[in-house]
Amino acid sequence: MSAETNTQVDSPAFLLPHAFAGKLIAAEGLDGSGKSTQFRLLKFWLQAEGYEVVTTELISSKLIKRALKTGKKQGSMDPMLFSILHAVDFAELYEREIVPALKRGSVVLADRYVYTALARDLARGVEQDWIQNVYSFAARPNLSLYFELSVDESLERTMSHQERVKYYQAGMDLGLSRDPTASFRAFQQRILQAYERMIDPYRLLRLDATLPIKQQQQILRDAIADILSGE
Amino acid sequence: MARDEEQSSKHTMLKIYPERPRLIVLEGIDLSGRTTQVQLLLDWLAAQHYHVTTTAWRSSPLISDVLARARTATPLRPLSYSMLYAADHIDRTQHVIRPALERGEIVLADRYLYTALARDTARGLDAAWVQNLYRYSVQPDAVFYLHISPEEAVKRRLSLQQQRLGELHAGKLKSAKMAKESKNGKEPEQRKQEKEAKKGAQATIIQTTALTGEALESFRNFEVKMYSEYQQMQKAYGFTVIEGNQPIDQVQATLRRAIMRLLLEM
Repeated sequence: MSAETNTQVDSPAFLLPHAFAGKLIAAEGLDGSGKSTQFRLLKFWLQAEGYEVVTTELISSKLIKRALKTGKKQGSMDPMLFSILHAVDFAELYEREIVPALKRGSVVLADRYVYTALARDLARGVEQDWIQNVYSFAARPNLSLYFELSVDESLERTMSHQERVKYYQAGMDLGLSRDPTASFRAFQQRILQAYERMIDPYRLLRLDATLPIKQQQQILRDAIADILSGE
Repeated sequence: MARDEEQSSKHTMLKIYPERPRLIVLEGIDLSGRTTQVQLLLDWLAAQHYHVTTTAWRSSPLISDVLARARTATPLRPLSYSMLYAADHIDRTQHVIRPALERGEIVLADRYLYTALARDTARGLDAAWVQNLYRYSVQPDAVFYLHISPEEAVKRRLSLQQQRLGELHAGKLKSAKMAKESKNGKEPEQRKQEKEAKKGAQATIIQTTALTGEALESFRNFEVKMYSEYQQMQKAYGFTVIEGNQPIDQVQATLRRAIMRLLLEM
């Protein structure tokens, strides 16, 4: 673990490497990019290899949903407020599930992690330096995956299992467009750009999310095997 | 519910604005008399025909609801609490503090970000990290720190719970007496009033749970920590320190003199 730490000194220090026994693997990317599918397959494989695996999902808690609903009624939600409410949810998930699992030596598959929060908040106009500081309590993943998908493809895949795009998913509160689909496109395009800017400085592993599922899985297994054999 | 009504009391019928909009903050550890003093200042400034808005810690409707729920469910981690308080502050900054200052008013804040700094660092969070959360706050024109020792806070806490206990007993006696009288055909309106009074006494008791043994010790330890954080902040943030361990009207007189000077400054 310490050898690995030394190889990363030149990358930005907003998330610091961890010294827990386990490994943290994060998946980021637009909605519908196949993160959950790939993680389900990875979990199966890792368990067969004898690892204890914990999958976490970044979803809004009831607590935060209430506040978001109130904000929706008010019609405007301060981007920083929106951002920090989500950070509360993340902190709870991080301290209650992710850290204990890492301490136990598990492989943690985080379906959306800090970079997703960051991309969304930047797309909402929050200042990067501020929000990076907010999330600086979190550990840097051993491997961060970026599932690359176009906005059009994301929209198509999202609509195949949702009747309509959701309010905040489309960034409707930002006033980009009155039409939810158009708003979705504009907002997700911003998120995509934010992700693109993170790939190099944060060393996200770019994965073409339009490749066949099996092929993606093979790429992921190879990358993860490297991480795990680094012990 | 009463808290919601109190969260920003505004006196719109009044005519005078200060020379410049002013944000005036009162800080101090628990039971330092902060809230009492803010209320007295509000009454005084309103009587002077100033436009005044008050804002209390944790009073944003968005967050007070979340916090109330959070307290009944699994307790949140210090990190999450810290961010929820920051969320409350961001919401009030946007919806109460900035608009009032833009209207040219005096804003009286019962606690401000220094409370967060003291509390979060007392709970082990990194001070620089907490400061970042509050980076976009409005800089106050004056911060009055009501200084009492942690020992004094404990003393006041104990005497308060003693007093509340007394009130509850009195309430019980009264209601027993009332029950007797109601059989003799006492007026329903009076009965209702006394019932309300009893309810009130019970509510405060629940709020001020009697502390004994370990709980009292942990209250004391926390106040000691808070106290030491405030002491360290005094110079760094230029607090005006006012001795809180003197009669209420004396503290109030000191505050008024200082605020009057501030309001007359161009």
